[in-house]
Parts: sequence; structure tokens; C-alpha cells
Amino acid sequence: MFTKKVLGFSSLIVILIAGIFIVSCQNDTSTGEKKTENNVDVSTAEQNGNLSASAEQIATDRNLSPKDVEAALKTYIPSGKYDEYIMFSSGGHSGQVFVIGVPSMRLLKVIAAFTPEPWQGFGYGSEESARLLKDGDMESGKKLRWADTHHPALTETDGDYDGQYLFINDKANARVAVIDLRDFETKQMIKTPNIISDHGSTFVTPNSEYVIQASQYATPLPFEEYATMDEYQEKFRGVMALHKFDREKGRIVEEGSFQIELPPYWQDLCDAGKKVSEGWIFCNSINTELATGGIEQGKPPFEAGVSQRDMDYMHVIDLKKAAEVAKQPGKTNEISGVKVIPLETAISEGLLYFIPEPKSPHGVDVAPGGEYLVVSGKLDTHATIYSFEKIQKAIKDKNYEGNDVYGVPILSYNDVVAAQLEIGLGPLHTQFDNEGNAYTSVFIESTLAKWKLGPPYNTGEEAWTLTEKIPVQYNIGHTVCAEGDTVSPDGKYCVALNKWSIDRFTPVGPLLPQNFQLIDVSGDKMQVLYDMPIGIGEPHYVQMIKADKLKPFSVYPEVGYNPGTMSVDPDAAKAGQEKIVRSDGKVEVWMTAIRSHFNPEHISVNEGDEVVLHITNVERARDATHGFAIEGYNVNLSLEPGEANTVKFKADQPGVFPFYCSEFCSALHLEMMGYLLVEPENK
Amino acid sequence: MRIVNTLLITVLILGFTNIAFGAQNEETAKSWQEQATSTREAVMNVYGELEKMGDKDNPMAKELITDAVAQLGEGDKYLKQGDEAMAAQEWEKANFGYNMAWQYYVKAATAGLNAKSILAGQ
Repeated sequence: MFTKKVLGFSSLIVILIAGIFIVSCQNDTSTGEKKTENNVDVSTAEQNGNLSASAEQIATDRNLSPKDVEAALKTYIPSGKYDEYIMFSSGGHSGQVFVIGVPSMRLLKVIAAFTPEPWQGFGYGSEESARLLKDGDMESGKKLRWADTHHPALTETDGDYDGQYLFINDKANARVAVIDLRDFETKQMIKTPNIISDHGSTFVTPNSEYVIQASQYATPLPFEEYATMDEYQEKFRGVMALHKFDREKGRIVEEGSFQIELPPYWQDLCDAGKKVSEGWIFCNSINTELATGGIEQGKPPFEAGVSQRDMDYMHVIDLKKAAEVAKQPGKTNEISGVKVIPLETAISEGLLYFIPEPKSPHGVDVAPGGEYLVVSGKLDTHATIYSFEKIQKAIKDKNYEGNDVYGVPILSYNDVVAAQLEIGLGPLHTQFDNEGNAYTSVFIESTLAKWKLGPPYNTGEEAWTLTEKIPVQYNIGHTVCAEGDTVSPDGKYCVALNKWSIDRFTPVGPLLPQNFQLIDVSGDKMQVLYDMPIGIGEPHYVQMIKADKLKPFSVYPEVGYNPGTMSVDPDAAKAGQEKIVRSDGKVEVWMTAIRSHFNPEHISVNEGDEVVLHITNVERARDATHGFAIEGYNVNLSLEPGEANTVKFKADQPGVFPFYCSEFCSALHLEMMGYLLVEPENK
Repeated sequence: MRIVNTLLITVLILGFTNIAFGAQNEETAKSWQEQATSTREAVMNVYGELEKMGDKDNPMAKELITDAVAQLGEGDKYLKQGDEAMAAQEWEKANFGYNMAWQYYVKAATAGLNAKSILAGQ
């Protein structure tokens, strides 16, 4: 029975205070304060003062155990101090990306990625967001206004996060968005041709040359083709899309992008090789049974059909060779305007190999040095570790145990496995630290398992050993550790991304939040520090970057900046040059916004006119954002300092419509308004 | 409870090592049967542990236990279906029945372990 230990506080608090005091004194400067560039907290004891006697009383009154107090001290960030790490979390059904500070676990921002979001003026009248959303619509023109974001991927340089861009996928519709981390805004949205769902996305190569996106649920190729379920083996296919990223442009570009046709297994998570394995891609797959479901017809449901076999196939793809083949005439088919390497070409050119991997795998994670690939089968109990060196030898020696039904060579399992480690019930995803440890999430038994990698990270009896498990609440999916999927992980913190919260938070109805649990992994024993409810969507994967790698704008560099082009907009309104220009059936307005007025304030148009508003926030002060909302017209913009944006709409409702600043910008914020006067057509 | 976890792990490994690569025959049906029945046994051990702990009048633990019992019941239905198919030498159907039973038993174990976790923290 767990009992809160309220007694014994004095000694703990003394130790903790002493620790803080010593650290503080070590950091002391002549000004009595040490701050890093990012204002990371390194305060002095003098500033904090000694902990008052009432602190112990507070802990006692709140029934906090010494461990609770320790956890609180490890996560608390005083006002005005910044977090050491930033997490970028997929937003699940919200279609967005969450930005969260670590260790405070404070939600800093929700980035509008795929779904209209009014606070950021995304999808509520701005021309730029309208263009982005349209780019993300189906080729047929059907609008897509929600997304299921799963796996964010920060750009990397030499395998390390560089903090420049972030990619995020939409599993529901097979889309990819590109977010610029100078202003944390989405710059590009792509509806990937030929596929309609993805899960193995987004992942980047070590220098972000390619963004990897693997389809999940197989369909005919392209998905717009019709086929019956009886034609599954013959006509359904999987696809791996390799999106070429032009870092200078900050965009995925058509030139150099291509796809590879794959068997209709459900390609799952992927990872790019790094260091010694750079140039290769590894992807899990499930449903190598080619199950087609049909429970209503008395056939096995997918959950049974897809888990019949002991082994599925890890896909091993030679990316460098694939990129060369994609350039060669006659080696690709053009499908939906995209170069696609046919499956038979991928086989004959030696681009694609399979390796048996234990039952229904749900994670392939490359070790920091690239030597090992860790796979966990969610219906198996092990982490299976493959050796890249052995894989290369098996390929070179053509040491195959056979071919799958499509002719893809299968490397012999025993030839390429480096180790297999019993982890527990339902292992899923693995991250790494800076001391040769791996951390695997274990879904069924709700734990995070810590284990030691083999050589060169650990040798002798220590290698490949399970060292610790910590319970988490409950049913952990992914886990993330500080820079834990890069070539140089930091350790320090991991977060359990728990799918169920059950009893962790105050009940808020039948739909419960997910639970992000921050875990301190810096000591001998792991310690859960904090529970963060996520009540916006169901996040999947997260990446955690050192905060000082991010260099965001505080304000846009120049007045009139267009976030879409990241340059001054030639149509931007300038202070002192505001105007209204009328032509036949069109009213074009150049408007500025500054605390606390718009200029102009009166806009008179005729019913049926096309109205174009170019609005510039001419402020240069940090955080002096203005909104622009027109009542009754479904318009709301967010204009950050320096930003220019354009709104177009048809004045199709006669009447008088106030417009106002929807951000509380000043004491006279309420007065920052104007009128759109729409004169009826038949007056 | 550590013993129960170990038993569950053993059961899952049993399935992993004995089931052939996608075949549908008597051998695979027997493997699935063994995996399903052994997993059921492990689940019952979880319940044994929970019974010893008592639900401590914790409503959330009670809910989880109710869910686990429901999952167990569903599993039992499929186990019976597998047994009947086995007797009729319908291997594919038997495979399916035992596979589904096993799926439900894993869910029952998940709920049971969560209930245990809540009770242990109470």
C-alpha cells in the first residue's frame, strides 16, 4: 500500500534547498543573475531568498510527499524564465501541432497546420491560408478541413535537429505540411498524389534532403482507381513517397521527388539511416497476410487476419540508389504527375529488401550511431535489434531465405539480428539517451523500459540488458526523449505519451484527455515528474529539441512582411498611404493597423462588390498583435507585428457590419474598430 | 503481480515461437489454441490477484474490472467457437476462433493490469 510520507520533509527540503543554493552560487555573476540567451532559469539563491518555513507547511497542508515536492521543484519554471527544451507534438484529430515547454510542460502554442484555426486567422478570410488550405484539398476539389496529425519531423543537419523547419503528416488524407520555425507558421501543404492514408510519415534524412512518407492502408495505385477487395493481391499497392526538400526555398519541390511502388502490406513507421547507415530507409509493415477483412460476411476481421503470422516484413530501401534510378529514363512510370519506380524495377535494381520482423511491429528506430535498428512487435514481447552491418553483408552476399509473393528478396532473419531482448507486454517505440541507453514504451503493461544497447555503447555483460521499468498511467504509445532520435541524444528527460488517462485528472465527461507524463531519466532511477493533460486531440509522436536551437522572429523583420513569401509584400499597405480604390464592382482597400485604430475606419461598398483588403500591422513592438474580424462575414485575421495580409470576399450581405481588433492590444482596444457599410443593391 | 506479468510474457512468447508462418492447418490451430487457453489462464491469475487486493470500493478500478470481465466473456465465446471448429477439423475456422479469443484475452489483461495499477496506487 502506497502511503504519502508527509513526515520527514525537513530533511528533504534542506537537501533540496542546499542543492539549489550550491548550483545557484556556482552560477552567480557580478549582477547576481545568470541568464542564457534564451532566458533559461539560472537564478541566484539571493534572488530567491531562503525557502520560507511556510513552504513545508504548504506541502503538509496539500498532503504532498517528499517525492511530490522533489518533482515540483524539478519542473517549476518561475515567471519570466524559460524552459530548457521544446516539444513539438502532433495534434492528432485537431490537425495541428502543439508546442510544449519542458520541464514545465506548459503549452506554449498550437500551430495551425491543416485545420482552420481562428486565433491565428488560419482559414478565416486570409488569402494566404485560403491558398494553403486549397493546396491541401483533394485533386477533385473536395475540401479537407480536418486532419489526423501523427509524426512531426524537425529538419536535421548531419543527423542533429537544426531548428529550422518542421514537417507534419496527416494520416487521414496522406498530406504533408511544412512549418517554418522562424514564425511557427505553416508554409506549404501537400496532398500527396496516389495515396490516401499514411502513417510512416514524416521522417527526414540526416540532412533533410528528403521527407519520407509511406502509405498505410493499401489501395489501388492510384487510390482513385476502383478495384474490389477480391483483387487485393493483384491491384492494391503500398507506396513510399520521397519528397525532395529545398531548404533554401523552405519548400518541398517537385523536381527530385519520386515514389516507390510497394506490395500492399500496410507500411507502418519508418526511420532514415544515420551515420553508418545514412542513405538507407527502414520501414515496418503489417498485414503481410494480405488480409482483407469482411467480418460482416463471416470473414476474419482485420484485427485477427492481420495478426495471423509471426513475422511481418521490415522494408529496407537503398535511397541513394533509388534516387539515381528515379532520374533514369524509362525506369519510372508517371502516375498522377509523379515519377513512380515500379515494384519490379525496385526489385531488379536492388532497391528493396525485406527482413522478417516480429509480429505486428510498430516501430523501427535507428540507434544514434546508425549501427542498429530496433524493432518492437506490439504482439511480441521483445525488442529485436538488427545489425546494419549484417544487413549489408547479407545483401552483398545475396543471402536470401526466399522471396515474398511479389518477388522481393527476404534476408535471412538469423543472419541480420544482433540481439533480442525481452522487454515486456506490448513494446512499441524506442528512443535513446547519451549514455548508451534505450527507452522503449510498453503498451499493454503500461511501463517505460530502460535497457542498454550493445557495443560500442555498452560491452560485456552490460550489453543488451534490461535495467529498469517505470510504471506510467496508462497504455503508453510513443515515447520521446530529449533529442532522442538524433545522432546525439541528450538524455535528461523522456515523456510517456499515454493513450489512456482513466483516473489521472478531474473528470470532464466521457471523452478524457491523453496524458503526457514527464520522466526524469538523469538519475540512477527514473522518476515521473508531471502529468500533462492533452484535451485537444490525440497526439501520437513528439520530438523534443533544445530550446536554444530555435531562433524565431520576435517581430517580422520588416513592416509589410508577407508570411507566405517571407518577404515584403508589394501589395502591403504602408503607413500614411492608406487608401480606398473603387472600380466597377470592386473595392480595394489599403489599411493599416496600430494601437488603437485601423485606417481607414469606414469602408462603404455596394452589395455584390468584390472587397479586397490589404492590411498591415505597422507595429514594431514585440507581442503587439492585432486581429481583424468582420462581424457576420466569417473573417478573422491575426496580424503579428510587421505582418501584411490580404482578405477577399464578396459583399453579399447588405447592412452595417462593425469590424474590430480581436486581440486585446491596448487600453483602448475596444475602440479599435470600424464599419463596413454594405449598401443594398436595390436601394 | 510480477508473477502474472511473467506468465503473460511466457504465453505471448509461446505463441510467437510456435505458430507457423501464415499456414492454416492442424498444427497452427493447436498453437493458437494453446496460446489462447494459456493466455486465458494468465488472465484468470490477474483476476486472482485482483480478488486478493479487493476493489477497495474504487469506482474506476471497478469499471476496469467490469470491462475486463466483458472482454473475457467475448474471448470465451470465440474460444468455444475455436473448440467446435477444432473438433470438426475446420482448421481455418479454428485458427480464427482462437486468434480472436486471444485478442480479447489480451484486452482483458490490459484492463486488469490497469485496475491493479490504480488499486496499487490507492
